[in-house]
Amino acid sequence: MRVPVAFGQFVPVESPVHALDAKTKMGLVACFTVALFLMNGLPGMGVAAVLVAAAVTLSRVPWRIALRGIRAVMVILTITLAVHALRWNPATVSLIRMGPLAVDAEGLKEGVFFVVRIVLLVVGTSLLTLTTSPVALTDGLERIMRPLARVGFPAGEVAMMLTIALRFIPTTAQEAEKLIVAQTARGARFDEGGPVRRARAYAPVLVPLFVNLFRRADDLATAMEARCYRGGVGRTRLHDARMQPVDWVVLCVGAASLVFIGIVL
Amino acid sequence: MALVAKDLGYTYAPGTAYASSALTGVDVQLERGQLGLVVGSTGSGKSTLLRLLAGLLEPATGSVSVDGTAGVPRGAVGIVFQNPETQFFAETVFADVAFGPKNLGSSDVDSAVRGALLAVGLDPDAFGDRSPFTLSGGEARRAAVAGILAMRPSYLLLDEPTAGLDRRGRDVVVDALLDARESAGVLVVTHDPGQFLGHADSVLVLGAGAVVFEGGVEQLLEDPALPFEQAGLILPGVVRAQVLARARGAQLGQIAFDAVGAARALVSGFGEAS
Amino acid sequence: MIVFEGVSYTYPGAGREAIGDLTLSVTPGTVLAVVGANGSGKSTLARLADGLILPDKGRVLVDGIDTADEAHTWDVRSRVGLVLQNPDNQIVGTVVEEDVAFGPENLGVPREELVVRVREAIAAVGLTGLERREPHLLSEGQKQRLAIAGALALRPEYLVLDEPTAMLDPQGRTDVLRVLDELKSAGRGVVHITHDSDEASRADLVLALDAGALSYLGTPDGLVGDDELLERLGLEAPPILRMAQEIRRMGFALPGVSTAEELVGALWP
Repeated sequence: MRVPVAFGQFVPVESPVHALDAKTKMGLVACFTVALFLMNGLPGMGVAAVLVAAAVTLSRVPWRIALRGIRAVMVILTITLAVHALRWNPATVSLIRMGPLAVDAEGLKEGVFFVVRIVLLVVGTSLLTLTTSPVALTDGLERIMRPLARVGFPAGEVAMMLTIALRFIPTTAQEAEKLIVAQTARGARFDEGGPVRRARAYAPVLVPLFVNLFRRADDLATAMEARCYRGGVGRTRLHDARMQPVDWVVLCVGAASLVFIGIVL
Repeated sequence: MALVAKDLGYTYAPGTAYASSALTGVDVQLERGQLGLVVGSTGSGKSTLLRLLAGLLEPATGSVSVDGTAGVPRGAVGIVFQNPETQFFAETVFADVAFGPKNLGSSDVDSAVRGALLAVGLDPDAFGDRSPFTLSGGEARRAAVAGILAMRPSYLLLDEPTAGLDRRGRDVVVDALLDARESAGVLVVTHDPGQFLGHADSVLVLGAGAVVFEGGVEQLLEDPALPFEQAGLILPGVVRAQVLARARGAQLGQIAFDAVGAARALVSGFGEAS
Repeated sequence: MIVFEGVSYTYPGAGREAIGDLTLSVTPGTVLAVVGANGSGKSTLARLADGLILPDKGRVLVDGIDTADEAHTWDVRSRVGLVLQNPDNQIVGTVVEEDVAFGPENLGVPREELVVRVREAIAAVGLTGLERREPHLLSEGQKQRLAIAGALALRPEYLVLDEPTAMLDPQGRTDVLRVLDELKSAGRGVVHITHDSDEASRADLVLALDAGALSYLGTPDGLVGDDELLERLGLEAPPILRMAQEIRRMGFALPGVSTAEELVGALWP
């Protein structure tokens, strides 16, 4: 029994957000990011927070999952807050004082502003990968990069690399798991000693993993060549996702209002 | 002196939406000096059973004991996974085979490695310094088996040990396993039992995580269609022909496992019938 | 037809020829089994047939086109489909239908036709209903049928399979062999590289390679008697054929049989 490997945490449910074209969502995320950085006050953050909350609700992604990204940046958030809020021997009046260290009201406000901004950025952008399948994501990226092909950028090749990487992540993960069990059975210990010793303990897993990957790559190159792969030029696509009218409307209205909010607030 | 498992059960991802029972109520008894066969198709739970017997998984129910003591002591049960040659990592065959005994803190790694290489028919002087990645299919498989033998396990478990090898490769691996039986209990898990049936002391047929049949080879072949079909397996053609002939009333005596012997058996049965 | 005319090939840097002076032909609507020990040149033969490598001496013709003719490289590769042993290593797409589409996408086949080709190829290998499934969630047998579908989407006249069942369980093997039978009935030429004697005995013709040279070309039955050759090829005699031969030798008249059922049915009608 194999448990499905979750990648990019894509949550396969149906929602209006899922239904949007990947390119639309990428455009909106880009505008959202710009807007966040244009805003310089807490009122703007409030509006942005409402927008993110609305998007998450619409997407039917469980809140628990939507907020999971925050955990990864917890350290950054703590440091950000500390750097802004804490003062050393301030001359002005402080909220809390612990010896020479003090929390100052102005700094706290500033710290909260930056923390909220990072949280909104993380939740907003992760909504893109949560509601877009990896395949749709790479296809969208390729489409966006396609104009760059005219100036010699290998857009098709880059997209193919991304697709293959996505394809082989679960396979490689399964293989790594098998290797760890097999070497454990040969008495290997992965949980003893300091960092150096632990890193060395992984050699019997990593070496065969890479050897097998190179073999795989060799086979894959043969298979791709046999199936007439000759680079990105002239390829057609089974699913060439096209922007629907609704995509254009959402993108234009969304982008315009985000930029407006960003400038005004 | 035996590897004994009682009422083994295992469930993957218990308590989640993916929870699935891999094994229920399986008993195993493997004596030293014996060759046991576990036969089952993909998804029958045979890989899970191997991992439980090797102490790599904790059973959800039941228990495993080695030589009368509960639990699996480190190094007592060796396990050779499918395509073990994909686990090579060291620069020389010698170093790779030495990995296990070194981890176990063996006092004489050198002789353990040499003994193991000899046991699988690889000359330590000729092969010890070679890179494991340059070996042929059959040599690589044997070197990988040696990597487990060098740990001197009392019981040796193997998952599809001959898969992907040509006839020559298969023959030498089977011979090496029959030799290993001299000093250990050997348990082979396979969906292609043909080459082992003639040598096995006992057979366990697994279907969908439960025991479909357990007993000796002759007993299995009295009515093999039933357990084999239940387990989604196909009997080797040579054996199948004799079983079909028996079903038509022919008196064949002992089942033969090679083509010539089987032909003689059929002809003798035919003589009596006509 | 695929025709090899006195073909020799040596891998760059290798000491000896992988294939030496090989002449053979593959006819549409037949299955040619290629047998031989590991390292006998079977995989090299597969790659030569598809034009992935070019002969040092002699030539390979696919429906009259020389594989060395660079103007027709893609023509040759779409006429000859190649399936490798390890299904995991040849699947490119992240879901079934996208992988099947990969070949014709490369040829620039328009989208409307892509949809048709993908549907047909998936149906031909019995994977209908699994179009959106991710490859790593398929069984090994299903993965190998997916690889065959990927080759079929190029609408090849010939299919070359390099030990396609070596990593499969009995069910997966049965399913793949059934697909090969259907390809043959559909008029395609199948080259089935195998080291399984039972599989070889299902073919119309068997070609045996020994150290890169042809050592047998004929019916599966003809291979059975020559124990010395079989030993050298690293093959077992197909057991049922071997049994039948032994029974005939003991003076019983027996028609040609290839399964246990046929054999017993012939003795006890």
